[in-house]
Amino acid sequence: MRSLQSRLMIGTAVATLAIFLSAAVTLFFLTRAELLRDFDATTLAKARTIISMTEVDGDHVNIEGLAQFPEFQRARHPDYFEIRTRDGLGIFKSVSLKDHDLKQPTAKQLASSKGKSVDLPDGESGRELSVAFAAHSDEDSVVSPKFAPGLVLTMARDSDSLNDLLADFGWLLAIVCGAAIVVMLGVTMLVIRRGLKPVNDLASNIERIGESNLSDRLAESTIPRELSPIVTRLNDLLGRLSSAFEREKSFTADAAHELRTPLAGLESALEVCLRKPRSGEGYEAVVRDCLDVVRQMHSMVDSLLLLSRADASLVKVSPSEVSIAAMLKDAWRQFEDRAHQRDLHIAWNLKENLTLVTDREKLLSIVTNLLSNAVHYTNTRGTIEMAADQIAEQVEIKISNSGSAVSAEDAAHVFDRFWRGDSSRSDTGTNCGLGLAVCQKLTMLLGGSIAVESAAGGDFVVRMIFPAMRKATLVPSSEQRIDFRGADKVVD
Amino acid sequence: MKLLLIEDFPLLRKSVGEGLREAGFAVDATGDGEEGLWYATSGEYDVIILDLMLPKIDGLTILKRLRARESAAHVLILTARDTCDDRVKGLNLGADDYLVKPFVFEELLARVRALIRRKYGTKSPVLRVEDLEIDTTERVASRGGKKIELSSREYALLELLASRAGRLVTRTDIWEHLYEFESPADSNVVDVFIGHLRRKIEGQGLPRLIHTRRGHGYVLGNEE
Repeated sequence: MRSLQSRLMIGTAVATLAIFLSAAVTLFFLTRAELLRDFDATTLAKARTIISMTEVDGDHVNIEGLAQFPEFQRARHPDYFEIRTRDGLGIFKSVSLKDHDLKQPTAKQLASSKGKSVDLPDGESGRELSVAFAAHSDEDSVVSPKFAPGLVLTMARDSDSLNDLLADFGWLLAIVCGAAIVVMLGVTMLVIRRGLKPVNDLASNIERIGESNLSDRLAESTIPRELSPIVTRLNDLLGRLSSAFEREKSFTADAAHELRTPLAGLESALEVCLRKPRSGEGYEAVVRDCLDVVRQMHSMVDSLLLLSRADASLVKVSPSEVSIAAMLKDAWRQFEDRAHQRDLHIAWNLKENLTLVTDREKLLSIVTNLLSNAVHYTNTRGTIEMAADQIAEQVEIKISNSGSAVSAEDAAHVFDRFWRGDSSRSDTGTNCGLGLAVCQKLTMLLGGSIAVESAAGGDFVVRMIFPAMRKATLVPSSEQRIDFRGADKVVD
Repeated sequence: MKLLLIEDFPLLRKSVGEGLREAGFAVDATGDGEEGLWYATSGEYDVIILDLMLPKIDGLTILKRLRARESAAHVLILTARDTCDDRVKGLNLGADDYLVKPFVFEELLARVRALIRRKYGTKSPVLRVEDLEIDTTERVASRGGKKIELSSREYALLELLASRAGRLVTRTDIWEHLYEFESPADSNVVDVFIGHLRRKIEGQGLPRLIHTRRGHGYVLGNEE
């Protein structure tokens, strides 16, 4: 693809050339035609004058006052004329003609008295035309019957000066045209370059933007209208890219910090343990404590992996028909003891025979996560409610618990990675701040949406809506990869 | 010497607390900032080991409030953040030292001891009062070159008296610096321990080192 600049320049150069040249040529030929017409008119007038001065006397022809036309006698560049009968019989020749003859006109040329270019007897160029006329005589004389059909006067005039004029004009035109073309090309080149400058500037600005300065934006105020959609879009994309990078960076940094604290705990526990000899029970206690922390870290690493895989669209989804009530009860089973310990009341509000085609394992994961939070954070003797209902073709699942520690303003942040109700890092649950982020990602994987409502001291409600997925057809575990780009917008 | 440990990660709090107690310190430990601030302002601590990321009130805020009240405790900050900004911030707000997690326990211990020396104005890790020599690193006391067998409590008491050699140490001071919050208050215990200590270091006719100031407290060595 040739550059815009060369395309524009070649286009305007060719157009300029064509236009200017054709204009010049047209002008030249029109002017020439005018000048010739004018010249011929003069010739015709002269011819007519001479005709009016011609008198026939028997066989002869007299032309009185020929002396007023010295051009027919002069030595250099003379004009010529001759008179013949219609049949071609020569009657009179101008002095200049001497022994030569002028060419006879055709009937057509005679009829129109149009001029034509000829070579004159003296070798110069000239214009010739012919006029037919009737012989006339004065009262005394008789017209010879030879002259009865009529006479033809053919005049040829030297067009030397006309030709010079035309030649000069031609050169002048050529020079002016040439100059105009050159100037035009120069000006258009300049105009095109300046016109394209914004494009070149934009290109070099874009080139400047790289990974290290993603926060830079392209100036929108100095951009011409045609390019502004491009610039706006680019800035928009840069913004998204930049914040994605920022999120990446802070996620990685946060993940590292998150792991440091439990590692510090492990390190100190083991170091202190080794400082002096301990009893078997002493060692056992330390080992148990360390194992707990190791499990926490394991679960955190699993969550991190899931989140990063989900980000890279690598997680597979296997839909099947799921009985919602059965799945929810399954999820609850492992929390029964703990709920009992904390004296929690559980309320079930499930629509009967509710089924959905979705990935059971992931849905179970989500619900387990949420229940774990609920059981952990509800106030003692508080209430947990599980509700499932059908809305159009979709299933809505609600899990709520009383005694929420999350205020209404914070409710929007609960899905942020590593966010916890308090700025500490000591969450002893398996969540380490990633639980809800994982739930959100898994929900998206299943094509659903998730939202939280909360009031400090009131209820913490998690509401999810899941659509029916297309069932796996031939292959047992289908590979439905779901595109995450733009998935962040899905959460309401 | 008494320490306050404010650290929210349970395993870290437990193990560091235990380790410090085994090293002879009285340690009060808590996992949340609010409680930590309350402890710090209601008790006398030699060193406060403060984690920056805490629930309820964060570490830097606690530090600011401590310094506003002109607390005499030296503060050592523990944190997983190792960016220079946070170190500078912490130190500028009044922290005395800084340790990044994960850390080696021995280093924490050494720094705590250094802070205590700083607090008591004793440059050397070995305290000398007349012919009594106390190696604070090894936690060994000797008189005239002979090592003295002391229990952990007795050693702690002696170290306290020696750190403030020549100056009055009241019973309250002793109580505050040697006993953890949870211990039931009992001033007789102090007298009993002074008695034990005297027997051990002044036994066999050695010149008196621990002097009683009736109604006030005790002084180790000659009064300044």
